[in-house]
Amino acid sequence: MNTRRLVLGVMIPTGVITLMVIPYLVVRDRLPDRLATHFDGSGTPDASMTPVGLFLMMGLLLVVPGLLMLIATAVASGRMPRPAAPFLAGLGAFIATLGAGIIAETVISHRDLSSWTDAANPWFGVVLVILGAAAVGVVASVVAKGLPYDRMTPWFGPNPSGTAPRMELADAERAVFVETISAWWIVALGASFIAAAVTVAAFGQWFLAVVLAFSALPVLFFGSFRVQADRTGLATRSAFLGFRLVKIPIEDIRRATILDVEPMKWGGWGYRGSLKLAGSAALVMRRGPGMHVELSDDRVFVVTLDDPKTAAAILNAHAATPVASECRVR
Amino acid sequence: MLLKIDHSAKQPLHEQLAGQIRAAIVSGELKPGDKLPPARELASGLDVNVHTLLRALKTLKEEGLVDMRRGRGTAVTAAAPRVGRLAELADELVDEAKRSGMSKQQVLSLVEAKL
Repeated sequence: MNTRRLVLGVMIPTGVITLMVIPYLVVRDRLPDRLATHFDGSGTPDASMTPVGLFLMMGLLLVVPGLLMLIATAVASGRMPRPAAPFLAGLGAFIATLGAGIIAETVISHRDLSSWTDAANPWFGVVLVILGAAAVGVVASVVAKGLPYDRMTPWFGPNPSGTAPRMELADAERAVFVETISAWWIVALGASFIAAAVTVAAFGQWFLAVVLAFSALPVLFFGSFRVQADRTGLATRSAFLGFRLVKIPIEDIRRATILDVEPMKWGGWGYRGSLKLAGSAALVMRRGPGMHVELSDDRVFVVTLDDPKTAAAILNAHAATPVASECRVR
Repeated sequence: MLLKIDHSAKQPLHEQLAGQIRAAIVSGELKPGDKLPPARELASGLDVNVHTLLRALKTLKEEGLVDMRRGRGTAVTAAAPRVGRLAELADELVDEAKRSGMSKQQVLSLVEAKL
């Protein structure tokens, strides 16, 4: 058995269960009937549970789901896309340790008390438990990074029939292609959110205005993109907000071809799929001409462009595997 | 929009850049109100210094083709399509005049006579 699997699937779960059970077994006879589980603003306990209730609640809410996530990661990481295992293992270890830690903290702080109403404000213990759980989560996440993962088969396939134009560039020549692609209806939706925010702000509804303005951000992000193809690769950025959506370094590009995008074949409108998680992604703003980019590890990126020919020609001119060499007969 | 420059050409890079962007405006690829990409991104793609690109943009601004506002980027002006063609013709006129050895005064009076 792989050491990493052993740590995630056996050692951390054993530790979590030990943390949950041992303090209780040790101080069981010195506990009051009920344990304080909630405190009001001034630190006075205002709700309680039996020890069994506490175990059931924390167990079902945090420990069991957390351990399941950890063990599933240890067992099945090979069938998960690359970023899934560290995420699942980290989150699972965090919530399982959190649940076990809260049980341990509650039990230990109630030892030798005659009633739950005497319990002290546990903020220090709770902070300690959260920090400890976060530390265990980070460790699990780092351990899980080294597990084998699935090289996903791309959702979207190759484009064998597409032509791959190529720009002839002399050594000292540099070419950049830039196009802004927009979906007017997404932009209009975002703009209507902003208009609504301004309107309610005019009526003094500040909180609502802020909520509306923030809701407009993701909408505007996906409404308009600037696509740039040059010697460094292909980049798409939100035209309004400037954030980068996708950057494909030129070293990763095998070839770029032209295709006719039928949105339903590529998952619909907007940004579909994910290069990291699904091995393929499509940025579809409308029906019609687009560029199909094939990466050297078989991943696929599709983007709708008015002038896909120029964009593809620049990428092919700089691509790691020159298109012409594919046709070379040996 | 396609911008293409030649680092080995005699013409200075900033002139090539201004010419390329102007051509995109004249051909209608860049329309009034369109924003140019951030100078940093364009410059790195073209392998030129940001200041070289800014110098080209300054030329275009002086010709009335673009508007540069701090924090809001560079946008094509409403008058750009008309002025752009004139700026191109003026470039050609000056080039031709230089080749035939005309002085600045001669070129100016030539244009003045036509007005």
